[in-house]
Amino acid sequence: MIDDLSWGSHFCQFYQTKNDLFDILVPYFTAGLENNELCVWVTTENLRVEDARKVLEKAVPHFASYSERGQIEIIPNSAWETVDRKSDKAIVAMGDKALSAGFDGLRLACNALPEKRGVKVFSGCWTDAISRSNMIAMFTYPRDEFDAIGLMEVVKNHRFALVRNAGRWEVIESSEARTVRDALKRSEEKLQSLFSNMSEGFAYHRIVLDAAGRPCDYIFLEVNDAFGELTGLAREDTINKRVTEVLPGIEKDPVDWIGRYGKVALTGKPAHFESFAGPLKRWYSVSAFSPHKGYFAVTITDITERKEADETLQRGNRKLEILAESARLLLTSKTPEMIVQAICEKVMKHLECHVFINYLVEEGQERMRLNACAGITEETAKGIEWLDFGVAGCGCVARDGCRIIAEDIHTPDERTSLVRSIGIQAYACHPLVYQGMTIGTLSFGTRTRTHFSSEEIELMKAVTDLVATAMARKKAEESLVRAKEEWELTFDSVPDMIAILDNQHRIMRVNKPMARRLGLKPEECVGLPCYKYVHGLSAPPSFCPHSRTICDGSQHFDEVNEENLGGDFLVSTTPLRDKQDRMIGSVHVAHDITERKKAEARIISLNKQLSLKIDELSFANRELEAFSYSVSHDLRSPLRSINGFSQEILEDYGDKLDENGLDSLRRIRAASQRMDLLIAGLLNLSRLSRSEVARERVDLSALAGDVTGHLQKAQPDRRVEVLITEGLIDEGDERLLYVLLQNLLGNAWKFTEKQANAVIEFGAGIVDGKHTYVVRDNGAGFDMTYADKLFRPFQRLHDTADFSGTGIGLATVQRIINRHGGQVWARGEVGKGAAFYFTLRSSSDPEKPHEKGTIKCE
Amino acid sequence: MKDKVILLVEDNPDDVKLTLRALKKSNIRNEVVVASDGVKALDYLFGTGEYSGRDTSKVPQVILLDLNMPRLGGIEVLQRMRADERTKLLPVVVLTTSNEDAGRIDSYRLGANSYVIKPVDFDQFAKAVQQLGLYWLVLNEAPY
Repeated sequence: MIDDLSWGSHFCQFYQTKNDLFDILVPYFTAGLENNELCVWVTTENLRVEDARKVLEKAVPHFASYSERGQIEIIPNSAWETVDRKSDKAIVAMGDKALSAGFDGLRLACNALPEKRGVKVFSGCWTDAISRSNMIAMFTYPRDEFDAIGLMEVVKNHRFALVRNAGRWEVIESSEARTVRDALKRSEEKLQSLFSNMSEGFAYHRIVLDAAGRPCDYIFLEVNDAFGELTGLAREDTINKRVTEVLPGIEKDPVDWIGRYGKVALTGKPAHFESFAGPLKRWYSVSAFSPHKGYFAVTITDITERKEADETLQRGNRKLEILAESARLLLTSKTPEMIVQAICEKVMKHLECHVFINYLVEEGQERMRLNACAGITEETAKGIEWLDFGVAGCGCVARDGCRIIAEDIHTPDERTSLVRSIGIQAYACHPLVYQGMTIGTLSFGTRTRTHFSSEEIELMKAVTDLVATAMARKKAEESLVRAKEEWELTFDSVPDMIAILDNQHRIMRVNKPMARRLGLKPEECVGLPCYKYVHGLSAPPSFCPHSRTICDGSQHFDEVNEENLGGDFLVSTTPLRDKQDRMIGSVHVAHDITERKKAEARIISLNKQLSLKIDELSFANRELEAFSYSVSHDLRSPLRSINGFSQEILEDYGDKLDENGLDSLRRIRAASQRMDLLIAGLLNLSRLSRSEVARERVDLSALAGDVTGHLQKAQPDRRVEVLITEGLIDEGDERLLYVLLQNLLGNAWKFTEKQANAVIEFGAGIVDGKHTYVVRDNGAGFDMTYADKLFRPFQRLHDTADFSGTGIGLATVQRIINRHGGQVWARGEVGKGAAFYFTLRSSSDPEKPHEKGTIKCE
Repeated sequence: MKDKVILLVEDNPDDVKLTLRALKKSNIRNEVVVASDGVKALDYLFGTGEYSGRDTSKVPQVILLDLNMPRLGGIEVLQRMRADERTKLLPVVVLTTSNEDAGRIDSYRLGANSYVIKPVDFDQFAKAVQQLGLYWLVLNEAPY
């Protein structure tokens, strides 16, 4: 009983002899020493300190070592007498001393004072101090000095009393104390049941201090079942064990369990906290309090699930924060590509990644340029500055527009060789896509994990989309700015003077040419009334097309001569409408037509001169007609006389003339006939120049057939092979073309007269890309030296004796071809024949579509 | 038929002589009245001027009319003739040197019955006259 006393116990002993004292106190202190309690013995009057020590030395094993450690103090009764018993100071100080010296508590034995007999030995404050501290106290009373009532009084003041009766020690309890003890026992049983059945873990510990009095460990004294369940620590593995044994390494846990609990145990201030227990890998909510100094109890609840849920929530919140922050930064930045670095570094940290790489596609190229990165050396970054589509992971993503997630990277793969080389184990690359177009890639990689959670991938995707949107928005803004600049440049580059006018004739905007003409800067023109500054008037002029546009809402044009602006202008006013289709003014464009007006004036003057010339010309033509008539009539009459009367002489007086005279007369006649032909030819020629050339469909093959038919009929004896290509149809003046063929085929007919196997040919083909006709013969031919004389009037290359002719036929041909706008030329060789080529249209006329074919042009 | 008169309106005496020779050569024996210009021709036809009092019911069988003459040209003569009931239907052969389109077309429009260009060569001229005589004096039935 003596060796199993709980803290807070105080009891008393009634003794008669020294041995009575020793009977109780030796086992009492032995238990205290063994239980690491500071033992303090205040001796009685009849016992000297030395005697008490000797008794203990003899009875307690290893007493010397306890004594050396200062665990046992034996104090003479006289020293005790000075202690103030009205306050608990002395006893509390003694308890503190025990704990601070590293003992679990205080075990005290002391004598009640004989001189205070009949007086209460203890004030209530002592009892209270003992019951709430790690203290056990025993008080000895000399039995012989108390009568029965005095004994009962003493017993009543202690929990129990030890009294020797008939050689045996008996425990005497006051009925009051017994009642209290029974109640206590019941309460304890209740507590025990509660303790065992509570769902929270409960543990009771003693703190262990180091030599300097600092908490360095604690010992499990009691744990409930729930504690075992919540911590996974079996009861038998914990009770009476030091925590550093049970959970090695706990002293290094950042939570500093021992320190925290030590503070509770030493200060008595309860603590409540939530912490992650590293060694147990669980989260706990902990309440700690100290029932006695140096001792502490904890209740724990496993909050791992709640913590994890909190964690998830927090991560979710953090993710949202990151996204919101990123979005704000990206969307407000003028240079989102610069922001990417900061944002991605944040995201990288949040995702516990170690690398991020951002590429941007070079516009119009199939390659990308590194825009931002982290986690790789500058040298590596330089090495991967440019990346072609289809190369490495990012290149494939850019080419295909699909993300790549590479996890657990350790097998060789071309696409992941780079990231593998820098120790990345999981890598995800997303395309930056905007409106279906890939504008770059963004990838993250981690060295410490082999996989990404779907949540992490989602965040990467969200950030990627944000970056893409921001960049696309910037591009759109840039193109807007560019469009505006282009528009302004165009507006100012147009040489026409453009003014945008409102419905009150005020200038809203002008281009530079307009401002220049007004002698102002464009911005200075805004708000000025145009009639005042342009026309120098106090109201819009009557011709103002802008006024008309305001009236009827449609476009108007006018030619305006404005001396203020120094010239003539073609002015157009086009209504300008807002989105609601209301007219807000007009676009007033003045096109300088001063030069055109001058040119027009010149043209009018030239036209006048021209019509005068035409009058002169037609007068000359009429003169020519009259002349032709007189030629045909007046020159022929004398000829007829010459001819007729020569004939008369030949017929009527021929017999009176000799042969020479007759010959001369015949020559006169022949000459008159030739002159008649010449006159006819000249008339024809002049008529050709005057008559209109018709453009009608002409069957040249048929005409040629007609001509050669007549020739054959006139000379039925001639044997000539005539080859006419059928179906040569063209446009021209049929009558003139008939004359043309008459001349050319007539010539051919004439010059093959002396040819036994005469061949005359009429055909067509392409010469120098032009549709060309040819009349060819194998007759007398001509010397090409004189080819240029062929087409001049009265030029003959043949002797009249050999071949008759006027020398006007080819001049006529030339004239006819000229009148058709074509060309004629000849090739020939003396004795081998001649070929005459002609075309019927000028090179500016559309070429007649014709079947392919070529003709020889030697 | 020989009593029928041929009126030759021609200002050029050479042509008159040659025409007469050609007629003679063609054995045309009809009387040939020569008017040396248009005025005289009309005088003859309408019995005026030097022909006043002539019996105008005696009309020529055919008139050979030159176009280019002093005073009154052949076209005007034709015009006057066709305008007058007495000579409206008389056969008129325009016999001229000119082969101008204008003269030919005007002649036909004004009711010339033939238009013959005098060839320079006398043989051809004689042939033409012979054919004319054969046609107008022998084959053709006169309106009167």
